[in-house]
This record gives sequence, structure tokens and C-alpha cells, in this order.
Amino acid sequence: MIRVAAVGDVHLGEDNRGLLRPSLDNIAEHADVLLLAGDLTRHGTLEEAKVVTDEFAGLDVPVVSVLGNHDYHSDSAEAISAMLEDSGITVLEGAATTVKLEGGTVGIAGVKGFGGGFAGKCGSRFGEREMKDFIEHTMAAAGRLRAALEGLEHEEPDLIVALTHYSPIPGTLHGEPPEIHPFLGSYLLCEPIDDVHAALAVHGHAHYGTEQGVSPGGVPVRNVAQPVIRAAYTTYVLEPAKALA
Amino acid sequence: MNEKELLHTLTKVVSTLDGTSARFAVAGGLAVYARGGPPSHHDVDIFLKREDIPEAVEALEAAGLRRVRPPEDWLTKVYDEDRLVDLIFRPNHRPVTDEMLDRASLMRIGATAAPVLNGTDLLVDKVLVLSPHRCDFGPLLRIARDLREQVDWHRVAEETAESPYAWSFLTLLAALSIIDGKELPMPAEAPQYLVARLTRALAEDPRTAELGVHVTVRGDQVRLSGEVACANRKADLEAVICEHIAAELVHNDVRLADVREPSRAEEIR
Repeated sequence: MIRVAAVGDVHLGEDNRGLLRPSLDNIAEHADVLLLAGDLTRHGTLEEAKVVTDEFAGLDVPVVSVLGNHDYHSDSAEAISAMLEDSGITVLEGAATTVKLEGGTVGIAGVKGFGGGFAGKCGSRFGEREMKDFIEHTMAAAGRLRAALEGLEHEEPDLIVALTHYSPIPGTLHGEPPEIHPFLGSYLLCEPIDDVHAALAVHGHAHYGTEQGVSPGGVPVRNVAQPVIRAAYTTYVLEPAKALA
Repeated sequence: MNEKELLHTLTKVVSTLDGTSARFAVAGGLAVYARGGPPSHHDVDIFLKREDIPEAVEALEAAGLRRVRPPEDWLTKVYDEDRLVDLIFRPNHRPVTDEMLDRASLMRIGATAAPVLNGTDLLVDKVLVLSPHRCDFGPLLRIARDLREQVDWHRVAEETAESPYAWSFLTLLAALSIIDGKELPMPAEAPQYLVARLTRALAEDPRTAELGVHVTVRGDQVRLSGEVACANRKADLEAVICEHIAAELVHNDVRLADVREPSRAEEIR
């Protein structure tokens, strides 16, 4: 049994410093690993990143994170990643990490991702340079996620979990206006998740969405944006595939 | 006082001022009359620049008019027998300028011809006279109807934007189709544009940076919904929104994040 805790969109800043930490101090009683699904800050400043490390560093479980669009707002994403890494939080952007836990090993592949929309209602790499740049940014993110997931496959962890900020499916966006779905995620992120048969895909970004969805390939997808889960984090209990076999 | 006598006085004033170096334009009721509006029985209004007042008064006195020294600091007065001539240099707190006098055009008024205030300047002046104690739209309505093609209503709206009386009058003109509603100084914004403007403000203003707050408009009421991290941010939303619309129209239903430990775990098999 592996207990994966996750939360996204905490939007930390000086004015909500310290609010989360009391609920995280006992996290080891509830979970084995904590995933952060991006939008850790409001404006993507280093001052806000310091609040993030103060809240999430030094917990009793490993913490693995991706960044979100808010974390890119001040063009300091790399410096934020470095700060989080220095504090012991693993930051993934087209990369993977394997965490060894009592219940087995969990391979986590993460990428921020981007928009573009979902099958049949999505943007195409066509027309203006700006439109092509938009879709190509998503394609590049999906490509990096694929490389990270396929790299994990070779390591054969007991579980593979995909971590993104943007949504890989429209199912967890129910509650958001359909008109803005192309800004909330892309099906391109979902293809590699299905291809490696991940055990779970976790994302944030859609504050009005719903928690539970499933990918076209049957992978459970969970939207852990804090306004959706209404808690400091939420926990998913997974049985490693080897144990099931 | 009858119209004929007033025109007689005007003729005397115009021919006197024509013999001076003072630039002037006929304003007020006689300008309205010259431009096709209703006849005027009140007085003769002449617009001049302040520096030309002494020369104009001297010439008018020499022509037999009687000077009085009114306490007001925006005009002076002369009388032709019992008929009042206002020599105005600062109507409605705005000085008469060369540009304004340049815009005047030479027109016939009764037996004489004189520079007559431009239709737009005339209406700006008339509309700005509206106040709590002079709020009769009736005479002004007739003037607006008679002169409407000679008036740049957009400029009237702009130049009178600070007056709620002017706004009300122009709104009435739009409602009566005397002017095009597009000329109004504060066109009512379509709710769709208001929602878009407020939503963008919440996202792009660094005080809020909130993309996840919904703005809905019902009538003139604006409702905010969604969730933010703390009470401070809920207040910031209101501060930003209230820079765009009146505070009493805002309903802030945004809830605060629940950051307690989760009470359950989901088993995924």
C-alpha cells in the first residue's frame, strides 16, 4: 500500500504564511509522499517561494513538485526551482524521480504542461506564429513528459504517477466553463500517461473543476487544486501493481 | 422687453465694438436666435477676452450706454436705457479664448451681422448653466431641437462631463432621439464588457493576481464568487473591483480556502 498525498494551487504569499503548516506537521500519519501540483505562489516571486519552502520543507515525507503558471509570472521559474530544490523539495519539469517507500517504489514524472484543449476542440499548430508557438509549447511539454515517463518504465518502479499543473483530460474540468478548457489543459499531456499505463495522474489549475476523472486509457486522474479538494491536501491509497499480481 | 428693442440694442453694441480692436462674439439667447432657435427677450450677451473689456466698455460708454460695476468676477455690464448688455469674459468658470472666438461665424441677427458663437460652444454654455436652482429642461429642450445639426454633441458631452445635470439632460436628448445615444459621456457598458473588464482587472492587477474568481453581473449588481487563500485576499478583490464600480453594487461571495487536514483518503484500485 502506498499513500500519495497531493495538493495544488496553494498560491502562497506573505499574507497566508503559516496557515498550511499546522496541517502538514502530521502528514506522515496519513501519507508516504506529498505531491505539489503547481501554482505554489501568486506572482512567482522569490519572496513567495521562500514562503513555500518554509511551509513545505522539512516534512516527514518526501515532497515532489511541479511549477504552475503563477510560478512563471515573474520570469523566475528557474530560481524558484533552485530554491525549492535547496530546501529538499524535488522539482520536476520534464523529469522523473523515484521514491523508495515502505510499500514499494513510486516513480513520479512531472511537467507543468500547458493548454491547447481536448480532442476535437483544440488548437492546432497552424496559422500565426503566436498560435504555433502556443501549441508547440504544449507539444514540447508533452514530449518531455513522455520522455520522463518512458525513462521511468525502464526502472520498473512499483507505481508510476504523472504530475502536471495543467489537466490532461477534460473530465476533471467539469464546473469550469467549457469555453476556457483550451486554457486549462491539453489531451497531448494524456497520451504518454495512457501509453505507460500510469497508476495515477494528478493535476491542479482548474479551481472550479471536479476531483475525479479518468483518462481515455483508464488511468485515474485527480484534480487536486485546493479549492476543489477543500483541505490542506488529499490522499490516494494505491496498491502496487506487483502486489496485485 | 420686446425682441425688436433688444435687436436694436444689439445693433448698437455690434457697430460700436466693430470700431474697436476688441474681438467678440454674440452669445446667449440672441446667438440661439441667430442660429434658428426661439426669439430672445432677456438680454444681450457678448463674449470677449478679459483684456479687451476696458476698451469695449470705454467705447460703449462713449456711444451712450451706461456702465454699472457688478460684483461678479466673470462679467461686466452696461445698460442701453433699461436693456442689459452682459460683457462676459469667463462664462461658467472658463475664460473666453481666441480659439472660441475663432470658431464663431459671421451671421445676420436682425438688422446687423456679427460673429455668433459656434453652435457647440453655445450648447456647452447653455448646458453648464443647469444647476440645482436652474434645472428647467423645457427651454433648453427647444434650443437643442432647433440647433441639433449645428452642434458637435460629442464635444458637448465631453466638455460637460463633470455636471450631473448636463448628463441628465443629454440622456433625455438621447432618449427622445434628438441626439444619438453614442454621444453620451457615460455610455452604459454592456454587462459582457463589464464582466470582461473586471475579470481582467482581477487577473492582471498585482494586488489580486486571481484567475479563479468568477464575476457575474445581474442588472447593476456585481457578484464575485470562487475561493481565495485568506481573508486578506478577499478584501483585496473588493479593493480592485471598487476602483471600477461603486462599492455598494459589489457582492463579495468569495469563500476562504479550507486548509485543515483531510478527513478521508480515497482508495484507488
